Amino acid sequence: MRRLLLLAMVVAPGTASAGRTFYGWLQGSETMPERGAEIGTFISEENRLEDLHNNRDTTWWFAPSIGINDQLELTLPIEFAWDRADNTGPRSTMLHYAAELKYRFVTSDSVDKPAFAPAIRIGINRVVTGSRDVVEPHATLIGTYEAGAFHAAINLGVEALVGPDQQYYQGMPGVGLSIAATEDLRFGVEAFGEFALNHTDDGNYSWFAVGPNLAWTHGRTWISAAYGIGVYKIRDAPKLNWGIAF
Amino acid sequence: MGVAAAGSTGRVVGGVVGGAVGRVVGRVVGNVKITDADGKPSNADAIIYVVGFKEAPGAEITQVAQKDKKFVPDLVAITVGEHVKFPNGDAFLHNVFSQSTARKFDLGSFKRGDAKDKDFPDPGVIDVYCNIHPEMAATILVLPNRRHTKRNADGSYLIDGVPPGSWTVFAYTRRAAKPVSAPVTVTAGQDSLINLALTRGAEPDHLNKYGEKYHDNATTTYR
Repeated sequence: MRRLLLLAMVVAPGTASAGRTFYGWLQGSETMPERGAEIGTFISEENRLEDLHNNRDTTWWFAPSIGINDQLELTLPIEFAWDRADNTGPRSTMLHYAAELKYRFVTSDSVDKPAFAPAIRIGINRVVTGSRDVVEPHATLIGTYEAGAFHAAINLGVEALVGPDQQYYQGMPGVGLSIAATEDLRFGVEAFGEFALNHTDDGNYSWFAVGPNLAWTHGRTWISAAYGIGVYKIRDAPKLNWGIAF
Repeated sequence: MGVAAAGSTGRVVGGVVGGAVGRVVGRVVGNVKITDADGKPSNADAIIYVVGFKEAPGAEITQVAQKDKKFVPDLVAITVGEHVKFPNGDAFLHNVFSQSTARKFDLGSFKRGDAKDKDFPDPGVIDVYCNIHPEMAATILVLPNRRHTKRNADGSYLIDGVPPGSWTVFAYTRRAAKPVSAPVTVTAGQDSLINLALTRGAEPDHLNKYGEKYHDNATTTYR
């Protein structure tokens, strides 16, 4: 049981995102309009350093998002992972399915919206690996500030991995900047990490990375990406997001 | 072109403009003739309005309903700061949006019986469409004052409460290349006669809210 719980901790970046964002790892505060629908996906890598057995994992996350009303969005993700470390062979698995709600506290109307837009995202993952008695509740406070071509975001997330024998908690802070180069294209920089709030018997899975990002919106499709360059306990952490609205 | 009517009634009409009770105002009257591209008379709606001064908005909320896959009415005029309500009277979803520079918005999709409200804080011409039904189109004129009216069935119009001064009268109808205008000098207690003419063309194509062409059979019956 403990080995399977550790697998879930290592391969669970917990950074689900849906709805357009200008960042790779950070979530934005936008939500779908009422009855709007979007298919979103991301692929991310976390390539850790020697003290974590050079663990490398690649995650693929896929989810429809639905606008409940103009400020509330429901997302139903499924997450898959590929994992390999020096002391383990490669493994591919479906990691979890989940339900998430994202609520934007202010209007998104193009004229009436304020410069600062707070939002909150909460969710719960049902881990399907191992003994199937592990859940991952998570929550992220999101704040964005927009002024002309300038956009900034801050995320303060927390995630718990709760099993019958052990619990693991981590914080997921991040900040980012994005500047509009054209109407559709943006560039910026962001910093993101995962920090253990408690310690497991097998070590601390914290990491932190900083790097450039870009975002492109084209009609109903948007793409955003970031390349996190490792600052703490990780070589790099690239992430690519893509969404298409209906 | 318009000519100010001299010595019509000579009456003094009390009116309120911008809340200044007791100021004396005049009227702009006339006829707006609309013809289609084939030269035949058209009974399409036209809005006639006076620009050159500002007034506070009224408290009324204008309605643009969605009925039988049409916006009803498809041309309205409001004053800057007023609201428009969009009730859905059809048995299927509509998604009202505008990509006009003066006021971009997306009301999302809403079902029969629901209504969405939108404020218009800036002047301009707002073209409104449904993201589901490409045949639906309407125009909202957001004007700087409350001196606007729709022409009558016989083409005549009357705008009361116009302050004295030199202004410009416009007539707008959907599908005309551009509105027509004429200068007008309004004298207190008198009618100023302005006749205008417009020619309508075909309904221009438009894109959906994503900037794409509409797909065929775009109707949805989801509730």
